[in-house]
Amino acid sequence: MEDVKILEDEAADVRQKRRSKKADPNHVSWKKDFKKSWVIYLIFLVPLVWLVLFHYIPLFGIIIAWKDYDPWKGFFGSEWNGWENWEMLFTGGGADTGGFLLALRNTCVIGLLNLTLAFLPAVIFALLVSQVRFHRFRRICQMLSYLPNFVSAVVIVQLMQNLLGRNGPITMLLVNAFGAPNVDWTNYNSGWFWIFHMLFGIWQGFGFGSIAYVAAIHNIDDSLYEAAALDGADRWQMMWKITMPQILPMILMYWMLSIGLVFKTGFDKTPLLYNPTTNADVVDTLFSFTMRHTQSNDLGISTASSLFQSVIGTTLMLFANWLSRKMSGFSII
Amino acid sequence: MKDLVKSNGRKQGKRRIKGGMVTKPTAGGVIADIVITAIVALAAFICIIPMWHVLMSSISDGYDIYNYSGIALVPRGEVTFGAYKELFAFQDGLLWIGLMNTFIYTFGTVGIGVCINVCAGYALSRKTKLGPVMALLCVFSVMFSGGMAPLYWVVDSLHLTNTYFSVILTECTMGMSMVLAGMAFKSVPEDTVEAARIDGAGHIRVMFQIMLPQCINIFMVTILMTFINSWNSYVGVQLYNGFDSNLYSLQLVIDQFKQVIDSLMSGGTPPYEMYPVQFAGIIFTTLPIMIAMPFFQKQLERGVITGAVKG
Repeated sequence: MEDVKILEDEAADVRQKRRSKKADPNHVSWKKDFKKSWVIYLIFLVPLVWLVLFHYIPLFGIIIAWKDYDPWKGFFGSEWNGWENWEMLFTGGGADTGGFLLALRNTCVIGLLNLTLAFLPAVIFALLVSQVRFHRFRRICQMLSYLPNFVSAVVIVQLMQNLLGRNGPITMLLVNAFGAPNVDWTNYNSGWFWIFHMLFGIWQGFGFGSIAYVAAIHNIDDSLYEAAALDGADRWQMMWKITMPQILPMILMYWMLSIGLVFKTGFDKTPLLYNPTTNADVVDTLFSFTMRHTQSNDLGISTASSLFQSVIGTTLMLFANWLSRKMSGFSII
Repeated sequence: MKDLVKSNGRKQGKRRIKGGMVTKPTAGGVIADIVITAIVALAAFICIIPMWHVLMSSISDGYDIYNYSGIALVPRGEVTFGAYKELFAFQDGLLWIGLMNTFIYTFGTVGIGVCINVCAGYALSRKTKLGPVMALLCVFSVMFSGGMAPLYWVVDSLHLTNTYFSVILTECTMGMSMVLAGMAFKSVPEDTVEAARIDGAGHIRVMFQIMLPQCINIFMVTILMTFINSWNSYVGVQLYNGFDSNLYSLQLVIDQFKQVIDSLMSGGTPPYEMYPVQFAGIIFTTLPIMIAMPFFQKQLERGVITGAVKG
């Protein structure tokens, strides 16, 4: 997420340059510029080739979404079929494509849960960890909290399957404490899967997500706290009256930027968890749907689904940027 | 920026906590301290307990751990390393093929990625007439991409599927890393670059010998993240090389092991000694990262903070 913000500088730079072009007094001619910096352009050829091959040609390839793609006939040989792929996606016309709307629903639910609840633990953890007195202890706790962030999706899925499986520790805990049914939650068509998915996401991300907040809290001016202490404020009041207002803009900014990424991150576990017979209704997301159809070389459908994802993602990103600029004066683009 | 990094380093250790110890500690303050410390300790405990459970399960007796439905804080039954022995020999040593492939994917991705990023960073940081166009090409690729399926079409059309290059080339870099590299190179003082140019250093020499050493810290963060992501990712390998188990990375190998073991356990007389093999696989793949992580705590924190305050 923090990556996105870095774009701001770059984009502002570009804008600035574009604006000042006319007024530029030391205007250089193209010929002179090329003579001086042709080596630089040659060097840029390396990333340019990569960008064209693995980004701009695929962008051109999105027209497959309007084709009946046949790998044997190739890209140009395949026939156009109008909006057939899209109709199949949104009306569930094809035999194996009915899952798109369900996948869309699941993506929305998981994304919205992440957006509304999953960002809070990082803030709370940052507030708490910055109040711990023993430096060594605090560093160790912080380091341990980063560790889950570096556990791979495959391992997380295996952990979920073990802990939430039939007779798994979490399942048994729920059975004993709340009388929940003893089922394999990762292979069960129930909305609770979303909650578990979110909890594992929180487990994975809260420690690493707290780094920026901890740094921000440590950057607050000490004299504010000293003045408050002289006036007799206790720590609870200091937290609400000093720390929170100081880091609130940052929390808000992070939250708004995460709107743009809500359908992009955290879905790489779903293709591994997906099981067509037991849990497809709640586990399937746009990510796993697209991946499955790409793997089976069903490129017409999967390109349409890819494109849909990209368009929604970019729209949300622009919206988040607009919102952020409106509310906190901070924009990426 | 510099102050922020410094304050997060050693200096903050000597500073007291925010809003604490300014006045004399009261009884309520001490209780609050205990509660806060306990909650933080609990959070840290929750973070490591699942992996601890896996570690203990992997050295437990197969029958005992299969019939145990709780968190294994200590090994169940007799401590045995049989699971690891089984793991190393499982499916004719597929694990070792996976390990070798992961090394190839990871180092290939990082190596080629660094080359491309350094080139992009240098080109973006120089003042040229086409500079804005180059920057725009990178920025736009962050904004909008075709997604997974068209990329697969390109990789497939280039006949890269079922080779190492499919994964390495698609995952080595992205527009964002190029923009970041450009910012890193821009942070190098122009004087040193000009001095080197006057002394007769060429573009390549300036790029690698003058500029790169000065912004290597920012680059290290990117390299570190690419390395970890590449070690942990399975999507690319499954998508492009999923039909050839000789090209599986470690992640896919342990995924396959889990499925094989699950089907073994669902039989009439399950081979209990095979059950902990899946846990041994998890430990084998995750432990290298877990051991290396504490050494990189500073770099990782700096990476996040650098991103947060925009260099």
